[in-house]
Amino acid sequence: MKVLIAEDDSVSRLILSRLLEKEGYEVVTTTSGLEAWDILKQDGAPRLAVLDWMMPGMEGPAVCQHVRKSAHGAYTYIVLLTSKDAMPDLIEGFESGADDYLTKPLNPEELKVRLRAGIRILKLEDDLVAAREEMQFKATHDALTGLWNRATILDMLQRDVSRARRESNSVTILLCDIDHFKSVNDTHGHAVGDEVLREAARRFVNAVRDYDVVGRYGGEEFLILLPGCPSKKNPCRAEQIRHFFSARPFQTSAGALNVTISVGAVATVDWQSAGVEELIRNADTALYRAKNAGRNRVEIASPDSGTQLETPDAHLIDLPTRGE
Amino acid sequence: MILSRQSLDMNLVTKSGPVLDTGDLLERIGGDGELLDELAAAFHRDSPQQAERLRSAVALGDAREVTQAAHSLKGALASLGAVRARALASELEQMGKRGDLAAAAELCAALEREITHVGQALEKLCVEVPR
Repeated sequence: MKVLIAEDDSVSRLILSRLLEKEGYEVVTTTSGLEAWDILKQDGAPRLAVLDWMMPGMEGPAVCQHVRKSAHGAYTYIVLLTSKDAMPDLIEGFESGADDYLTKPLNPEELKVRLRAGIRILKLEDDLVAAREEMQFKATHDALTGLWNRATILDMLQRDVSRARRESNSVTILLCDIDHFKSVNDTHGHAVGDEVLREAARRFVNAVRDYDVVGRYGGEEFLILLPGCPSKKNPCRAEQIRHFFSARPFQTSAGALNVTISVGAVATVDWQSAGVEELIRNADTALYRAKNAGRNRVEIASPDSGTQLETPDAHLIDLPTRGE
Repeated sequence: MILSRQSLDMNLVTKSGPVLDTGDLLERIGGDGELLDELAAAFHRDSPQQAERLRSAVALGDAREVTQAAHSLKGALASLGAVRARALASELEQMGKRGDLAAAAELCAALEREITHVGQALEKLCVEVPR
């Protein structure tokens, strides 16, 4: 554990650093408040700091204020040192963001236990941050495949469509459905079905560019967003992905399985006024055409091909939730 | 081995208390003779400059500088367990804060004499503490 000691008096600094070195701390020392602030604002800075209250340049409480205001990354636990006869305003010290204070000359045992209390606080902080990050991940990702979940991929679609229209670009949406997935589950069991879904996710991610987005839309349905992919290239990109997906058999605990997908594709450039729900409905209609035409193929929804659902109450049709 | 507080104090006690509270100092540094050498060296190196800074500030009537210089010396003297010198530095710091330097020159001279005694007591302690 690294600890910063900021103390302008060399005698006090020596005693403090030897004491903490013997306790196994990695000690960084400085003689001024300004230097202390320089050190604490760097990446990988000590997260424990023992700061003298009165220092030339910048006093301990001012260093605290700077650290708290910048609030970058991990928490820094700060102990201020004061002299016991001329006790400064402790309220000022704590309001500046200090966690604790000690009076000089230091009682070594007291210093040790106070720093251990600080380490406990830092550990709690780390656990809390890790838990928050895990919750954030779980709220946005599909547990089985690790892909973006349905709600998140739909948010991204909305955002990408809005941006593409603002910038006169296109987004291509691929709705991909694993062919005969039900029979994989029925024949080999759900555990093998899950293996296929995980491998499918992996292949989709490997098949697209860094800035494309893959999400699990439903049971065996996946939604892929290809930003900046013009309409004319649709068949090409979608075909590449379909081909990549089924190029090699899936290795599962039930042996090698040949798995293919059907794809319904829609490009926003072909449907300038369509909302997200309508775009997905059109992709879904194209996907059904691909299924009906024998599976393992790509169908493109375009206004000329008659896939558009021109019903007056189209907005009343629910989003497809097949397979959920 | 830490020397007993009594045997050392017998040598250092003056009429207004010990120059160094050696028992307290040795306890706080865990009887570490090498650290004691380093502390003595740091004190011999830095205290003349700090005393000089304080003396000039008093001569110039710079109350703010008196406060800071006295505070800095006070920290070192407190860490060494130099009880009397620390009390003098603390008094000078208070004078600086009040902006009343009338008796500062006299007090400063007393502090400088005391710092010399602290230096001598430290040297003596370095010889006495086994390592």
